[in-house]
Amino acid sequence: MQDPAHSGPTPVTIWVWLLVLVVAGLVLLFFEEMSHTTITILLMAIAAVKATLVLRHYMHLKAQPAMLYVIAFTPVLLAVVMALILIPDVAYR
Amino acid sequence: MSVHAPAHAAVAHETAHAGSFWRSHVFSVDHKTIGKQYLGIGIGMALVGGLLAYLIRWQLAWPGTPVPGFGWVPEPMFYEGIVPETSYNAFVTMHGTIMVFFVAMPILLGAFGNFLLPIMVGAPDMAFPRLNMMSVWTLGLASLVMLSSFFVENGPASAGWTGYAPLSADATYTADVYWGLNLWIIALMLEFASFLMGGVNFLTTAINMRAPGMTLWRMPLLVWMQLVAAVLFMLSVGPLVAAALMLLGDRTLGTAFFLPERGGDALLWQHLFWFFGHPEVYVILLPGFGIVMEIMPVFARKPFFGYRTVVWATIAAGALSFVVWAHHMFVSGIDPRLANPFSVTTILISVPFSVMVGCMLLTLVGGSIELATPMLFALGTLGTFLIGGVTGIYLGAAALDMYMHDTYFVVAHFHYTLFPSVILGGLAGLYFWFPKMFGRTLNEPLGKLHFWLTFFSFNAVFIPLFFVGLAGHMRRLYDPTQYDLLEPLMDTFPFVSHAFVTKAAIVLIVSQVLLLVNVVWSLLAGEHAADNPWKANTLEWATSSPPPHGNFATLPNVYRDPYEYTPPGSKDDWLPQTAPAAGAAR
Amino acid sequence: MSAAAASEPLRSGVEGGEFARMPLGRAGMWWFLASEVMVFGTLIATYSLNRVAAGGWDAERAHVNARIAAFNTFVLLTSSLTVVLSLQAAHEGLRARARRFLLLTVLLGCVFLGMKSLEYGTEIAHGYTPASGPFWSYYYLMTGLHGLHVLGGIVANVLLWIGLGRPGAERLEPRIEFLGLYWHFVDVVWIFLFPLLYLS
Repeated sequence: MQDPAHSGPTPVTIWVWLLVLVVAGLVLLFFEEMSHTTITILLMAIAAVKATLVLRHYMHLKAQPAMLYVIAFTPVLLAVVMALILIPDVAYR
Repeated sequence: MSVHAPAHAAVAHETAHAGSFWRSHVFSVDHKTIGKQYLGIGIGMALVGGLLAYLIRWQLAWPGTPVPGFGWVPEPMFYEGIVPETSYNAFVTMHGTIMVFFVAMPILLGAFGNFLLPIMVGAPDMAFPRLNMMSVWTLGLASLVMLSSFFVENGPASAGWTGYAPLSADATYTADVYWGLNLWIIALMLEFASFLMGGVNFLTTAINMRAPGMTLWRMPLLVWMQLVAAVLFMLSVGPLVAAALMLLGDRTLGTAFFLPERGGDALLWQHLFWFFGHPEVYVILLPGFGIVMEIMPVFARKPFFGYRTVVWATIAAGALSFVVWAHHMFVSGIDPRLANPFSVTTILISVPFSVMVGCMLLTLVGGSIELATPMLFALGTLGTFLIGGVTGIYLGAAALDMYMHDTYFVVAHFHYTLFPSVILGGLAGLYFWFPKMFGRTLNEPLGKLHFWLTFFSFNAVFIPLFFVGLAGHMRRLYDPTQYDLLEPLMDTFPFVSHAFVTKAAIVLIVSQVLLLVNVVWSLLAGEHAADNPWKANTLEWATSSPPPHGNFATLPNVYRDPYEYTPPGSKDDWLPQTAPAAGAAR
Repeated sequence: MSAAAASEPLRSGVEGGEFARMPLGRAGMWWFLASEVMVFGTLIATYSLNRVAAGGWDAERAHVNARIAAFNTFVLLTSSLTVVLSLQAAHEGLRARARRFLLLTVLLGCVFLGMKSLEYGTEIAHGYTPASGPFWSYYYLMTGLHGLHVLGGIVANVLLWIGLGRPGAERLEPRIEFLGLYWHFVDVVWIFLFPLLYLS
């Protein structure tokens, strides 16, 4: 089985980046002139980056066969489709 | 890997004998035993579901009269044998719930999936045998919880098997049924957990544990169907798990998910339920089709027509099944702009299914058909399902559905899709694989009689219901005679009457005794089955009946596709998958 | 029922390419996680849509404790690190070290839950219960379900930690990876819950 320390950043390096991103998210809140929507989008983007780091480097997704990406991301896609279809009924009651 | 007493010869008697093998058969991790345990649960719950159907049918034909055989049940469930409204709602709810979740899924996925999938791909067992055991025990627990809900104060769940909010979200809306519905939710969540565990096993086993030569394109179609069904279930059940927790919160913790008076959204329940509910019906249908697809080539002595086409069609149907759900909600108050897209997708999804049905029919064309009992049931499944499928197209058009929604037309439609897949398909599978599973042969003439009685009485029950529905009869109605409009449907017309339908239903239910007699007699005193009584090609027929622990004496090597029947230039009309390829492989 | 039967990896052939060579537990866990994504994905989607419909729920959200949640975020991220370090140690044959990191993971998980109970306790004391309206309903369900998943992970890791200290531990070592996958997933869910419920 692959050793994560061999190729790419070490687990501790990833951890440091994760903490940096958490702080970045908290810092964003001090920008009071930014609109609610912008802050939300930026926070979600930061969350996505953090999730990607965990998925790729901690869960070793990048070392797995492509099919595993399909297994991992199909439900995400499906949840997004569900959310989009529900917009007319739930978000605009 | 064997963990229990190796007494292979006695396995054939296991269901008839209690005693020294009780422990190894109750706590077994062998997928074949677990499959039989699922079958036992499914058949047991089918008796309960059938009993509930009898109660419903009696009340519809002769409302307010005592049901024969139920005079002893105490109040408030019955009043000297008479069914009150509250109980009627409960029976309708529990009939649907039990049939879908505790009969259809355990029999088609739990029993046939568990028993056959590892053998058909050449594996010694499922990937996670202990998880498998836990899954059937969880289902057993779920069944007990569901049945226990009959005995709590104010009775079992009575908000329909679909449990729509706000009716289901507050006990005061369902005649104070509190624990009945809570237990219903809990039992369902346990059932979901059971099949999630099963799904993990099915997918890992079929993808990761195939025998040498068993490429994905050489897997029997039943395996493909079970896999797609497993994926559909795994991806669709999440929203309902979330919704069930939300509903439980509304009922017990005062949360505000679905109750408008607390700021909730009642329609959200329907969206989440049907997001799961529609893929769920294909989770049930696909294994039923899979059984038919295995049987037809064997009894037509002809390869399956369009193997890869059917696989791609199944995958397409599976993908589409996630974007059709709101066709159950056309009249619920959804945004009207959603009606058209969902009608389109619903009509679209009939295309891959038509392809599948077409391929099944073309498998028969030019074959030398033998009408053995499994084949009769398989043909019956196909024929009756066609009616169900076509009537679904009518309902999928929003404009038409506005008039037909929540009438008996819908009831007839879904019984014409569910009954063929679950009962006719399940019976086809039982008659076909009984020799393999239990090492005994079922009585053929008795089987044929069982088929004809079941087939005719089933059609006699449900064809009239299409017309009853079109005449304006609404679903879940306790007493049709309360409406003058429905009065003529009680006993006036020759076939389109509740009285006729109920009599046919009683014939249908009683006919199943033939199956029980056949099974019990065969297990006790039936002829021992050969390894391959049907001269079939797939791997389960290349081992003993029943197979030993580990399924095969030695790991099979697979050289052929699964349906090489009447191959050109061969003296036999069949070539098992393990027969070495003399010439070019396909 | 012997332990050997369950953890002996069942194998039957080479069909399936990389998938056939993958440990069964890894494939199985990813399938399970896919279904879990749907559960949390649904809650996140419905929460977000309802929040838009309700106009943001700003008044209610002012009462959540972002500080405890931020601290918990650090705790959970660190626990993901310790899981990976445990796995690394197991690969290098250092079982005692692997066990120590596993224990650390469990402890961090307990800290998470402890802080969470503190958080709930304060909120309930101020009168914010699941019955306090739609926002609180979603808040308690999402964080509560997540917390239950953390608890499940803790229990599983404790059992693994115990098993690794007993004879026959070699067969259990692959499970560090599988439980690790589950733990990281729980971490990823929190990565999304934190900004959604506490920050934005």
